[in-house]
Amino acid sequence: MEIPYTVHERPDTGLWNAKVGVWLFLASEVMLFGGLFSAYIFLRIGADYWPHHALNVPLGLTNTIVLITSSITMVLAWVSVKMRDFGQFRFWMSATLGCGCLFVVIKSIEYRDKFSHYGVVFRDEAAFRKYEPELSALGANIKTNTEGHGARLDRTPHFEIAGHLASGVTADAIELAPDRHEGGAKGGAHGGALRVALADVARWGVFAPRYSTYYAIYFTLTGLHALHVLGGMVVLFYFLVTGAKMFAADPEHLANRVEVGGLFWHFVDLVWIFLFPVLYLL
Amino acid sequence: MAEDRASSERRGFGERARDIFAHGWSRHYIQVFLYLLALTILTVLASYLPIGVAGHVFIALLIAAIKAGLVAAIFMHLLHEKVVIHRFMAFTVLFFLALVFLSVLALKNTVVGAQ
Amino acid sequence: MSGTGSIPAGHGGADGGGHPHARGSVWRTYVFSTDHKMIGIQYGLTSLVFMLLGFFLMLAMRWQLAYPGQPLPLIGKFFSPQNPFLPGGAMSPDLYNSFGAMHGTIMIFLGVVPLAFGAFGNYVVPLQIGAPDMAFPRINMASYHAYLWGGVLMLASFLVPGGAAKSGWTSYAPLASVADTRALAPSTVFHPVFNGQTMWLIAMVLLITSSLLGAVNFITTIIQLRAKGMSWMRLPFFVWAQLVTAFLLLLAFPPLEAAGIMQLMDRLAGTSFFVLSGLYVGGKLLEASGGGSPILWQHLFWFLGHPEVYVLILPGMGIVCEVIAVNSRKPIWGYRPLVLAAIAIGFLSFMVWAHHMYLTGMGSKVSTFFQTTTVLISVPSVIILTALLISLWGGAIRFTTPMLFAAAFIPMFGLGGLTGLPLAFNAIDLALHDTYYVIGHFHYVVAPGTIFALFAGIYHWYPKITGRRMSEFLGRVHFWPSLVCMNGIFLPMFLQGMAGVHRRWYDGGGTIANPTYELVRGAIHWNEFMSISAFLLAAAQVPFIVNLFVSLWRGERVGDNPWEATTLEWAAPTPPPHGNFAMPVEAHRGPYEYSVPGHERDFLPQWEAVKGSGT
Repeated sequence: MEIPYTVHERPDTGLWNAKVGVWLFLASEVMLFGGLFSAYIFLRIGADYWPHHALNVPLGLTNTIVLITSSITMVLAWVSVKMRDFGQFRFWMSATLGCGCLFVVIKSIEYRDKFSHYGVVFRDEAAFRKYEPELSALGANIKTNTEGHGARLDRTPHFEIAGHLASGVTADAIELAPDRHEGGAKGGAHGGALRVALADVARWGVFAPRYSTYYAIYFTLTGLHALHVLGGMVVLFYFLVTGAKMFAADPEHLANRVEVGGLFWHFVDLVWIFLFPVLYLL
Repeated sequence: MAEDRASSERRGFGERARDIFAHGWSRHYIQVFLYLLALTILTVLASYLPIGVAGHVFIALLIAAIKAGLVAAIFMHLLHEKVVIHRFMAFTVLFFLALVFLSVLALKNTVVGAQ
Repeated sequence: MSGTGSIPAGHGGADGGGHPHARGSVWRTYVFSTDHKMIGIQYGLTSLVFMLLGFFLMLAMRWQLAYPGQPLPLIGKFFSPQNPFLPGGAMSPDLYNSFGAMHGTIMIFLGVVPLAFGAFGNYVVPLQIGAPDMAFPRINMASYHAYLWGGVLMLASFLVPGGAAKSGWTSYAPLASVADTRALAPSTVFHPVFNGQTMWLIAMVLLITSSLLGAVNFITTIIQLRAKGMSWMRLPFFVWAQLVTAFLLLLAFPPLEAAGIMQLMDRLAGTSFFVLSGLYVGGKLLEASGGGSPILWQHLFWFLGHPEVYVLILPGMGIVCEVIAVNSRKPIWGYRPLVLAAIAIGFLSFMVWAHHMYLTGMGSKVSTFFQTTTVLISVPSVIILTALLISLWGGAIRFTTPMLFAAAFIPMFGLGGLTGLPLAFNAIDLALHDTYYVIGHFHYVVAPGTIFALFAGIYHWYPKITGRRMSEFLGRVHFWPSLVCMNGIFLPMFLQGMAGVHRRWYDGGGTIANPTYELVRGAIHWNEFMSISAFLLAAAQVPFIVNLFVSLWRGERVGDNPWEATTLEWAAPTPPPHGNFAMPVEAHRGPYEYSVPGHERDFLPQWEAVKGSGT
C-alpha cells in the first residue's frame, strides 16, 4: 500500500504531506513558546527587580550571528539539492551542523559561567546600608530597584550584589569578591572581598534556575531552545549521512526532506531571534 | 494566461526551483542574511540607548518582529506558500496573541482590593 | 494481501479476533502496527479499560460520600487499621483526594479523548474520506505508544510512596508545586521524581506529545488524502468535527505543556514559576526565591482546559450526526450551518478560558469580555443541537441501539449545555464556583452526553470492525438503565450545588471542622441516592461488556453495509484490509443522500456513480 502525495504535490492543495505536517507541528511550537513567553511577561510584571544586561551580551550576540548564519547555510543546502548538486549539499549541510555545534558550545560556556557566579540579595534596606560604604569603596555594581534603569518604586526595595566566592561560605557569613560597575557581568575578581553576614541576607546562591524568576525563565526558555537545536541537529545529521542513497534514488524526495528539516531549523532560529533581545537586552 | 499561472501554482514552489534560482534567488537569500545581521547589531546598540524600559521593549520587539518576518517570509518561503498554510498559521498567530494579551489584561484589570 | 479482490460480503469474523490484514509477526500486527485501523482498535480497547478504572475510582469515592467512615464493601476487609490509605478499609482523606484527581485525569486524558479522538478518529476518518491510511503511519504508531506509556506512568503513580497526585485534575499551583513533598507532608518519605505529582506531570507531557502527534496526523490526512471527488462540503460531519478537534488539540495543548514543564522545574529545580513570595507551607516559610504567579498556571491550564471541553464534545456530536442520519433515513438538516458552527466553536473556544477564573479577582472589563465570548459560544452549540433535533422530524426512524444512545444524547447534552449558561455570568458563577452544580453541569455534558455518543459510535461501527452486529437485546438492557442511572447521579448534583455543597469535600463535608456544613446539611442526604444510582450504573455496564466480547463470536453476521448507510467507510470490505478499499473510491455526492426522490432505495451512497444525480 502506498500513501499518496509523500513526494509530489496534491494537485488541488499544491502541497505534499510532510510540508503540511511540519507546518502544523510548527504551529503547535508557536503555542508552546507562547505559553513560555506569557510566563515571561507574568514573571516580569510580578518581579520586584528585573535584571538588565545580566547575561553576557557579546556571547549572546555571537550566538545570534551563528544561528542566522546556520539559517542561510541551511537554505543553500536545500537550494543545492534542488539544483541537483550533491557535493554542494554536503558542504552546506556540514556548515549548518557546524554552526549548530558552535551554538551549543557557546551556550554551555554561558551556562557554566552562571553556575560559578554568585549573587546575594540583602534582607532589607537597613541590612544593605550596613555594607554600603565598603561596597562603594570596592566599586561594586549594586543592583537595585530604588533608582536607575531597574527602578520600581512601588515595590519592595531590592538590593543585590553579584560576584565570585572569595574564600567561601561559613556557617554565618559569605565572602564575596563583588562585580564592579565598569566590568559588567564579568570581572571584579581582582578587587577586594567583602564579608556579608548571612543574617543580613534574604537569599544567596549561584545563578541557577532557583536563584530568581529571571533565571528560572532564562534557563527554561534557553534550555528548551537548546533541546530544539540538538533535536534539529540529529535530524539534519541523519539527512547528511543517509542523503546520498536517497539522492540517487529520488532527489526530489531528499529535497523535500531537507526543506522540512530546514523549516524546523529556521523556526528554531526564529525563536532565538525573540529570545536574544528578551533575555539579553531588555 | 490565467490558466498558465494556475497550473504553475499547482506545480508548487518545489518544482519551479530552476526558474526561481535562475532569477538569482540565492543572491536574494544572501541579501536577507545581511539584513538580519544589520538588524541584530542595531538591536544590541539600541539596548544601550537611554530611552527607558518601555522604549527598549518597543524597539527590541519591533526589530525582532521584522527579523522573524524576514526569516518566515523568505527562508521559510511563507511568502510563496499555499493558502491552507497561510490560513492556519494566521489563526495560530491570532491565538498566540490572545493567549499573551488576554492573560496579561486579566492580570492588569483586577477588582478593587484584589492583587 | 493488501486491497485485492472484490467486496466480499461479511468474510470476516470467522477467525474470532484475528485481523485479516495480518502481515508479518504478531508483534508487528498487534503491538507495533502502523495500520490506522489497528491503532484505532488499540486506542479503543486501552481507553475503555482506563474509563472502567476511572469509573471504579469514582465508585469508591461515592461509597465514601454516601457512607462516611465505613469500610468499602468487598475489598474493605483486606485492610488493617494501620494501612495509611485505607485504614480499616475506609478511605483516608489523602486517598480520597488522589482518587478525585485521578478520576478526572483518567476520564478526560486517558479515557474519553483517546476513545473519541484516538479510537474513532483513527478508525473512521481515513475510511470516511476514502484514504488508504493516515498520512504518517509511523507517527500514528508513536502517538499511541506515547499515550500508552503516559497512561502506564499515571497508573504507576498509585504505587509510589505517598500515592498518586492529589491536587485535583487541574493541579492548581501553588498547592501542586509543593504537594507530595516533605514541605507539605513531613512524615512521608517522597522520592524526588517518583512521587504522585511529579509523575502526573511527566505523564501529562507524554499524553500531550501523543495528542500533538495525533493532531498533526489527522489534519494532514484530512487535507491531503481525501479521495477523488471528496470536496470539503462533501465530508461527513464526523470528519469536520474531528478536524476541528485536531486543531484544538494542536493549538491549545502546547501552553499546558509549557506550564507542565514549568511546574516540573518548580518541583525538580526549585524554581518559583508558580510559587509566590512569602508562601508558608506547614507553618514554615517555603525556601524558594518567590515572585511567581499562581494565576499564570490557571491561565495556561484553562487555555487548554476550555478547548478541551470541545475536544470532548465535538467528536461526540460528529458520531451522533452520523448515527442520526443513518437511522432517520433523512439528509441531515442544515449540513452547512453544522460545519460552520463546528468551526465557530473551534475558533471561539480559544477566547473563553478565563470564565473558569472569575474568582481570581478579575476586574469587570476582562470579566465582561469573557462573559460575552462564553455566551457567544453557546450559539453555535445550540445550532448544532437544533440541526440534529430537526433532522429527526419526519424521518422514518429506526430505533436501533446506536440510535437510542444518539437520541438520548440530544436532551442530555442539552441539559448539560443549558446549565452551563448561568455559569458564564460572573455574578452567578461567584456563588456556584467549585460547587456540585459545576460538577453536575460538566458531567451532563461529558457522561450522558459524550459517553452516550461514544456508545452510539461503538454500536454503530462495530459491524464494520468485526463483521458482526452487537446484540440489540443486550444493547437495550444497557441503554435504559444507563439513562435512568445517569440522571439519578447527576440531577441531584444541581440541588446540592445550589445549596452550596463543595466539590472537594471528603466525607460530604461532615467530619471536618466546617461551618458551611450547617448550611448545606439539608442537601447532603442526596449523597446516598446518587451513590446507589452510581452502583446501579456500574451494574448496567455489564451487559455492554458482555455484548462487546460475546458478539465477536455470537453476533449476527452482516455484509459491508448493514445499516444501509451512505458514507465511504461502508464501501470498504468488512473488516477493511490493509490499504482499506478493494477498488478505487470516489465521492460522487454529499454524505447524507437519504430518501432521494426517484430512486428505488432510500439511500444513495457517496461511492455509487448514478447517472443524472448530481451533488
